[in-house]
Amino acid sequence: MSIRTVVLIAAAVAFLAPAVPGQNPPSEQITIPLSLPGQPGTLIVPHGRGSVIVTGYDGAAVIVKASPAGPAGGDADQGARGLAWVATGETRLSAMEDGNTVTVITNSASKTIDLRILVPRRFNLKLSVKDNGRIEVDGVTGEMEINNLNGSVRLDRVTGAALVNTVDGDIVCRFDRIPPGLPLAFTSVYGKIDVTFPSDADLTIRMKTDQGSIFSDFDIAVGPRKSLSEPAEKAGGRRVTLEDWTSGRIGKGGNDVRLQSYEGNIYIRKSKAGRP
Amino acid sequence: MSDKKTERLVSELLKGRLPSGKEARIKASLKKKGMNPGRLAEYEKLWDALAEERVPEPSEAMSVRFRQALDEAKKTGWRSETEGAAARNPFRRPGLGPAPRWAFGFSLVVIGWFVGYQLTPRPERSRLEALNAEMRDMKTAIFLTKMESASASERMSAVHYAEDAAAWDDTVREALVRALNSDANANVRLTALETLTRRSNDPRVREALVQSIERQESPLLVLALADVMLALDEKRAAEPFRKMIADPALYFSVRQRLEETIRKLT
Repeated sequence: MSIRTVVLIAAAVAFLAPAVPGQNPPSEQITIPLSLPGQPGTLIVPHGRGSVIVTGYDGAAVIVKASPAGPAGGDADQGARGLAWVATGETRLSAMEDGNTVTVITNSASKTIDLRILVPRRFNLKLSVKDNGRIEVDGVTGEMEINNLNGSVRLDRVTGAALVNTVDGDIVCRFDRIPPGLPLAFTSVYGKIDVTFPSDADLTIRMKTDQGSIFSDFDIAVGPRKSLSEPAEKAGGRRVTLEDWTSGRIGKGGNDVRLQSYEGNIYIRKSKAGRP
Repeated sequence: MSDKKTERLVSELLKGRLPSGKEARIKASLKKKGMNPGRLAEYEKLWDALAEERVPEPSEAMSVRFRQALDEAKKTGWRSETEGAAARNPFRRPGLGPAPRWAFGFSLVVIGWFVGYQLTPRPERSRLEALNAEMRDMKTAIFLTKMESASASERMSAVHYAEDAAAWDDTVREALVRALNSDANANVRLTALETLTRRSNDPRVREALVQSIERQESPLLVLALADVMLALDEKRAAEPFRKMIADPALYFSVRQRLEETIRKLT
């Protein structure tokens, strides 16, 4: 079977908005059909500057809309008063599809570009943003690997595995359901971590915060502190214990969940709405 | 007429206690059963001979001699000899009660078990061991396959699996070090670091942890490694951390923490 690779250059389908001052900046949009429609796929977005907003929908293709974040300097630029911003087609949006894996590339290394992406509801996401943007995901089921160095991450109404990390940004995640066996991990240096799990979730939690505090409305059965040490009989050297990890169980215990923030608080919430 | 009954009748006959009519009847019946009359006569002769044998009555002197001998024996060796035997017998020592006997019984059970184990056919045991080894190999193979997976959550599960003590071997250690140094996902790297830290009594693991510092770019990993190095009191870590804070682009709070770590280590 030959591998079908589709490379779509956005210029071919770009919608260039009229250059009128005060209007939305020109955006480009492409639709990427899947080679295995109806089956779960993977979206990979290695993004530089700008936000990535992914929404699950009932379609069978991936639709990407890229907008440059407006003129450099924004409204504050006195010199640009009364002048129209001349768009220069600078998003350079392109996408590649190979066996249901879609990779979206833009010129985001040098320009701030916001991406709005529609994906079929069952899709794995591998999103990373380096600067100047946030990552948002809504209504997607799959494995999510999300990395935003300087901005925030928000996952809403998601189901599946999630490995999320930020340095500066807050992490807010609301899970509809957590299939058993899948790991969850949320790590930040400065950001707070705010996760909402279904009220009937069975999770094994390990959490740690240096400067912050941990809050929850779940009954977390906190186990003995997991000491990072060798069994005593094998210990030839000194015993090592890192006291600051707290282990606990929600429900019967199950999926491994790792929550760590150096300077932010950790909130573990029970979903109020119950199962949708 | 059963043989037993015949035997009894014959003996009665020989004792001559039977009335003569009955005697004749028995003789006839015995003859009918096939007993040779000649043999019966022989038995009678033997019986008479035995009756004639005189059993000597024990004399008075004999009884006296016996008592004397008994007394003498009591006085001298016999008593101490039996007592000595009791003393030598550890199971009969007064004051110890039944404990030694129980102990002996128990040790017999233990020895029995041991002998039984030794006698268990070797192929059975080696097959069990082979099965175990095969299982371990299979688990390691699954672990390694998962570690190579494109899915970060698969790799994460694999690292969680390696926390299991039974799974630990050189291959697993090397795979975890690889994950710590070069996995694409920071959370997988962090979890690998935690699992390795639990094995930090292994000098090879310690070495790998120290070497890993310079390879880390994510502040998350750098901070986590700083924590581990402090907990291990690993002085070799000070140097790579010093190199790191020389970078002006380093995050402020990471720099602060590294400076503190270096101060505590040196």
